[in-house]
This record gives sequence, C-alpha cells and structure tokens, in this order.
Amino acid sequence: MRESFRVFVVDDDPLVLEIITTILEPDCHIRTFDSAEACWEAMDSIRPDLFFLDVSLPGMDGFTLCRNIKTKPEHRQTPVIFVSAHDTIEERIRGYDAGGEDFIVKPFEPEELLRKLRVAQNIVLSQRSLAEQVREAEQLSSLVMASMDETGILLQFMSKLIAMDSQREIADELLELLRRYRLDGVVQTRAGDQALTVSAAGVDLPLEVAIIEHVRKQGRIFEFSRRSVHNFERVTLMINNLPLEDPDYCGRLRDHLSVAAQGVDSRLKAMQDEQGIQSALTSVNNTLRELRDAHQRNAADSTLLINALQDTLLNSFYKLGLTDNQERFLQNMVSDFMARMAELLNRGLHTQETLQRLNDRLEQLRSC
Amino acid sequence: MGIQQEGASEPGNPLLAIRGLHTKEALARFAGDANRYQHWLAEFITHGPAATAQIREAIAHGTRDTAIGLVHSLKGRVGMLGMSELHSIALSLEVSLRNHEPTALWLEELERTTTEMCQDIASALAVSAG
Repeated sequence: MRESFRVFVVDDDPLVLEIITTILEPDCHIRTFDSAEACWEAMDSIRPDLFFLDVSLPGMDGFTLCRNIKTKPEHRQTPVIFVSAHDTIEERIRGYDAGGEDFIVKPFEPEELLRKLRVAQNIVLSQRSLAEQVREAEQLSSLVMASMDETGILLQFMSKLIAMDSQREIADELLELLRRYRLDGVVQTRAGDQALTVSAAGVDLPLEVAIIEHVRKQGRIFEFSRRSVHNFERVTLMINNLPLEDPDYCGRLRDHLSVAAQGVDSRLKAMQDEQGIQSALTSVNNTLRELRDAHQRNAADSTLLINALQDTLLNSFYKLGLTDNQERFLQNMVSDFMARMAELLNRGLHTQETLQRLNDRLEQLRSC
Repeated sequence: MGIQQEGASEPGNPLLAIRGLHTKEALARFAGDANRYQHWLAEFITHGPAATAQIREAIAHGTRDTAIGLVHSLKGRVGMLGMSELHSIALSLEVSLRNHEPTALWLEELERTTTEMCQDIASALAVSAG
C-alpha cells in the first residue's frame, strides 16, 4: 500500500510538515506543500489518495482549497482531513461544509494521525474496489448490449431468409447483413449449375469470381490476413476487413456469419428441392393426362367395335337361314356379352374420373 | 517509525526539567529522533521571541486579523513542540483577540513565558552539548 498510497500534506509551518512526514512516511508516499496554491498546482500532474490540509494558510486557506478539490471530478472522492490548531465546533462545521471528511487538532499524537491514515486507506481501498466492480459491470453490460444488437441483426436476417425465393435476393440480403456488421465482402450463391457472385462493387466481377472459386475449396472456415471465408455447399462468404483489433467482436462475428451462411445454404437447398418437386409434379400430371386420353380413346374404339360386331351378327342371321330358336339363342348370347362389355366400359369411365381427380389435385399442388 | 535515538527522554536529560515542556510526548512526534527535536527547540530560541514581537506589532497597529493569524501559528508550533503552558497562553490570547477583549495581559504573559522557555531551552541544550 505504501508505494501506491499518495498523501498530500499542506501546512505553512515546516515543523508540522516534518512531523507529519516522520509519522506517516513508513506507511505511504508523502508530498508536502507550504501553500494551498502549490498543492493545487501539483494536482494537475499527480493524483493523491488523501489530503491533510492546514486550515490557516497564507493566501488560499484550507477550507477554500478543499472546496476546490471537491469540484474536480477526479478528486471528488479523495478524502480530506483538516489539521487545525483551532478546535471549536464552528471550525469543524466549516470543515464539514467545505466537503472535508475528518478533522484533527494540533497538537496531535502520532497514533491519532496514524489511525486517521488507516481509516482513509480503507476508504480508498473500498472506493477502488467499488470502482473496479462498476467498471467491470459497465464492460459486461456494454458487451451484452452489443452482443444482443448483433444477435438481433442476425435474427432479422434469418426471419427474412425464409421468405426469400431467388438467389439474387438472398445474395443481396447477405451483403446487407455484412454492411450492418460494418464488414465488406463478397457473397457467392450456387443453385444447380447457376452461380451468382455479388459484392458492393457489382455482380459476377471476374476477379471476385476467380478468388471465390479458389477460396471455396479451402475448407469450411479459414482466415488469411484480415480476411475470413465461410464455405458451405451452396454459398461462400468472404470478409475482407475482419476487425482483428477487437478479438471478442471477431469471435462473435465468426459465429454469427457461420449461422447466416448455413441458413442461406439450407434455404438454397430448399429452393432447389421445391423446384425439383414442381418439375416432378408437372411430369406426373402430363403423364396422367396422356394416360386418361389414351384410355378414353380405347374406350370409344371398343364401343364402336362392339356396336359393329352386333350389327354384323344381326345381318348375318338372314344369310345363315337359322331357326327362330337358333337366332334367339345367338341374340341372347351376344346381348349377354354386350352387357358385360358395357360393364367393363363403365369401369373404364370410373378410372377416367379417378385420373381426372388426380390431375386436378396435382394442379393444386403445383400452384401452391 | 524512523531511527530511535537515545538521550532526550533519559531521566538525566536537562530538557525533562524544563517547566511546561512535555518532552516525551513531543519526542514521540519525531519518532524518538532527539536530534531533530533539539534542532526545532534550538530554532525556537530565535523563532519564539520573533513571533511574539510580530504579534505585539500587529496588535499595536490594530491589524487584528494579522495578529490572530500570528498567534494561531505560534500556538500550533508550541503545541507540536510540547510547550503546553505556552500553548494555553497563546490560546487565551487568540480567544481574546477574536472576542475583541483586552489582550495586554495575555500578550505580556506570552512574551514572559516565551523568554523563560527560550532561556531554559538554551541552558538545557548547553548542558546537553557540554
């Protein structure tokens, strides 16, 4: 404590200065002044932890110096102990009004002076500890606030991403995300055979495309110089100005950008899947329609053929010279087969209706 | 608390015999350093009479605030040196000045006691040196 605890002593009597120095010097670092003005001047360069001020001084008195000390924010908390040969209640009240913390009367005993020093040292230690706690709490709260803000930006991006349905829109929003994180970079999105490379400088700039094509093969996340690259199957994100001077912020950015890139990759995959399903639905729908048309044609042809068979048989009865019973028998037999054939054709109609319903349902799915 | 030096507080020391001088208490303020204490006592032999002369002059010229300041300073000095009787007289003079009361008697008492104190100190230091 001795080296770090600085005491300023002001008294116009060199005897008092020597006595105070002799008593306190083993426990702290003492600086003496024979006037308030000299002390005030020294405060610009050195910050003491405690003042012992004589009240009656030539020029500025101890009370005035104390008031001045307490107006300076950096000294406001520094304890002031008045040392006076004038021990009256009025004098103590004046000291209190001036902002002093304690009062000691000349002549004092060494133990009394040391006791005052110990109390002041404990106060200063407590103040330092409190100040450190406040500083740590402020640091933590600003860190939490910054982190919440950063997370908020990411959440906003992710919620918008769900509704995005084009590569260009996704790439532009990813660039906007970088801008909000005060970053500059290049984004490449890939869907099927189509790759789109976007930066603040433009779209598909040859040099940027070449660099991205190179870095996308370097692993999931890698960094070089102030750059960092996040690679996923369908997206590559390259940052050009990583804030290396702020390692904490850098760490949080790595996490946020990985999440964003992964989200984009998933969204692009979903878009690809959606396109595949649409294509498959169209194909199935067309095939069903063709099947239904073919079935319809077959049914019509079959009906015509059966009707033609019936007419041919009836006409041939006259030429064959059949008895009435033979004609009736053959007629009944043909009618029976015709009825069974009609039943089969009716079943085909039901199949067509089923196919029609399937077509309608597929149309509904495609338009979703 | 500094280097303790033997001598000033020993029973045979002539300083201990001076009336109105609390040597042991004063010496403690110098962390037992007898040389430093004797230095300031020797210094008082010239400082004390000079201070009382300045006080008389200030009172004579009617500069009461100056006189109060001078008495106040002397009171602080003699108190720290362990001169309890002189401290009491200086305190009485200061109170009289602040209260606009007659000061002649207290001033004379201060001058006389200071002179005696200086003579006693000078004798004691001479014995110590001899």
